[in-house]
Amino acid sequence: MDETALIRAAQRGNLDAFNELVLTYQHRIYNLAYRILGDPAAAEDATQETFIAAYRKIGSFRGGSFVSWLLRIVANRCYDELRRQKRRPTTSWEAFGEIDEEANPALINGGESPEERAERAELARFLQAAISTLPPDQRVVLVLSDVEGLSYAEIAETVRVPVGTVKSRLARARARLRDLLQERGELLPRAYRLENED
Amino acid sequence: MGWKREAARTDELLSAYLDGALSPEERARLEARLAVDADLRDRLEAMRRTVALVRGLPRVEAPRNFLLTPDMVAPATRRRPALLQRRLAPVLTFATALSALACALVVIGNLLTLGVGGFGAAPAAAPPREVAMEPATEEAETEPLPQSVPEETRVAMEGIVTETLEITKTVAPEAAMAPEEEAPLTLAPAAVPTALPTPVVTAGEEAAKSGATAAPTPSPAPVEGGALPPPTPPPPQPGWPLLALGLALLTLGLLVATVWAWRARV
Repeated sequence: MDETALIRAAQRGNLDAFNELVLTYQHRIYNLAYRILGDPAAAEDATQETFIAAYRKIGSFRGGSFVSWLLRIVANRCYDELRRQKRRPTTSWEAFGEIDEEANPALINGGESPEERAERAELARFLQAAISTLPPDQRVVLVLSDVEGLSYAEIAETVRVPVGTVKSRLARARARLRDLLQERGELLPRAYRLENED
Repeated sequence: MGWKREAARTDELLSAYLDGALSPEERARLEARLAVDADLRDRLEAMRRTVALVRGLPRVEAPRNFLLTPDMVAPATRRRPALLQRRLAPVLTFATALSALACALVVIGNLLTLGVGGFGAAPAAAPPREVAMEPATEEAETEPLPQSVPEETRVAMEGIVTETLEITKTVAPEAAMAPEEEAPLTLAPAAVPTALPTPVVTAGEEAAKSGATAAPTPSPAPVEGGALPPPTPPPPQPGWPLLALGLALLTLGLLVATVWAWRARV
């Protein structure tokens, strides 16, 4: 059964058909939630809530890209969660070193030597910690653009802001991340330091 | 602040340049700047590498399946009471009780007042007096009364007026507790219609009654077709029955709303 047929069946209340869609997109949705939230448990919650919300609202889906529709739901859920966390801030740059490396699913990547894996793991941990210091509006746009690869127009539609706002938020996020990497570059593996070519 | 804004504007150009989102003119201007500005080239390169690092982050696999079960989506089909209804139920209950209490107090107060006044028709009887006086006054000026009234009626009327005055005198000390003109006015409309078939003849007598009522001593000034004393303004009407009715209707409305809100909570 193709995606359109699955969506129509789900719109008629067929939960099995909807679960087929869940299996197709769960990794992408979880990845986005994890990159925005920076926490595996919170990402799991956001992913589950996204699929529940999507099933309940699938009657309002009027065609177009189903995955974009899902990404919009999860991005908004993550954004709400970040704003909630902002009222009770728990993440800081200093806290990034305490992230449990073994428990971080971002570090699972086969086909690498132990040394390469360790370096990539360190880099991923560093970057995730850096992303987690960004303000929520910049973080969501950065992840949608540079992790998910969405265009400006798609991001604007997802977060419901003008394209110009997307451009400026993305630029500020990248500049801030660049500045952080330059300031804390000594924490990066040598191969990934921004000034390593000098 | 100006240099910060300028730096932000430059970063926006560099970011859009990396995404290929600049217009041809903007792109040409930026490339011209890059050709002569080493610092700008460094900033662009650092941003390019930053973006590349983020894009190179490994895709994270979901640690488990997120398949939905009927239990997970069941609340979607179950009717949940509206938040407003759930919050309103206790408030409406309290408001209904309050309104019912106020209504009961008004009704009891009304009954007690009537008991003290002695005659429940006092407030209701006042308006007819005013209505009856208007045409009577006009007629008194245009046509002399004695000729237009049959002899039997005149006799009956005089008897009634005398009786009324006597009653007024008797009641007056008690009526001092109530508003001054209430007692005589109460009796007059009740008595006159039974004795007089037409209100026309009441004019002279009304004037006499007014005089008797206003003065504590029974010294009615007989007016025969002459000018009547200016009509006294009616006493303020207590609106208790109206208030009781309003409160009763309010209580009823609140009761209906309360039942609706509580049913939504269940």
